[in-house]
Amino acid sequence: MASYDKAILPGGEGKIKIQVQTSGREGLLEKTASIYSNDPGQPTATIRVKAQIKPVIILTPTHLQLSAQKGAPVSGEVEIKANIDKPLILKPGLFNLAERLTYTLVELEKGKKYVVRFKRAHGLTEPLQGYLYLETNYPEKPEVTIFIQCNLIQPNSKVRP
Amino acid sequence: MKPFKKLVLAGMAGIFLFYCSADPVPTFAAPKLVLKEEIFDFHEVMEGQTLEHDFVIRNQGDQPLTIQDVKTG
Repeated sequence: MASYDKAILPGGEGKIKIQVQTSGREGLLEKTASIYSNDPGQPTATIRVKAQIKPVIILTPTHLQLSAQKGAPVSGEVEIKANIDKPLILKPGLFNLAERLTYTLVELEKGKKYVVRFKRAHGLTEPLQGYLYLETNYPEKPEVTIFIQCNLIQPNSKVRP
Repeated sequence: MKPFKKLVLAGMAGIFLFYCSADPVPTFAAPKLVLKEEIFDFHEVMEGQTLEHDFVIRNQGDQPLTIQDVKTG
């Protein structure tokens, strides 16, 4: 988002204010803005802002990918860690694979570290794709999403590391 | 008049006539946008913050500068 001074007198100065929201962003963030003016020598000028966004909550892995042979049980886990000095509270939210996978949310270190363990005891019969939402007490990150993908592998095929 | 003096006077007259007859370089009044900086780095910031920065623009021309639009991408 940008706001700006519309007219600048000869010899004068004006400002262009750039605003960037970082909620839900992680890693390198770059934003460019094009300035259109009546300068005949440079009708368009470009400005750029960048930042390295550190997440307030770290998921490891960021996406859960599971593979199993047809009918074999499947399980996996995701670790959730607070990256700021404020106790983290997680509450279960929407889980769109509820009828096909079960999960347990365990607090490993009070207010610091959790683990979510996913399991399908009766074995996988078809590939699955879905997500689990967890509500947090952080206003800057009110929700954590864990994406889950389960793939079926052929009996004689090897799983790549 | 000595021949040397005549020569100097003729030369000066020639230079004067040359400058009088030469076309003046055309200059048009126009605004000129100059940015103090083109890139700003916030470095490391925590997720959830709203980042804000003011870019300063100078008008180094001799006509008012009009910012018609600023589009972010």
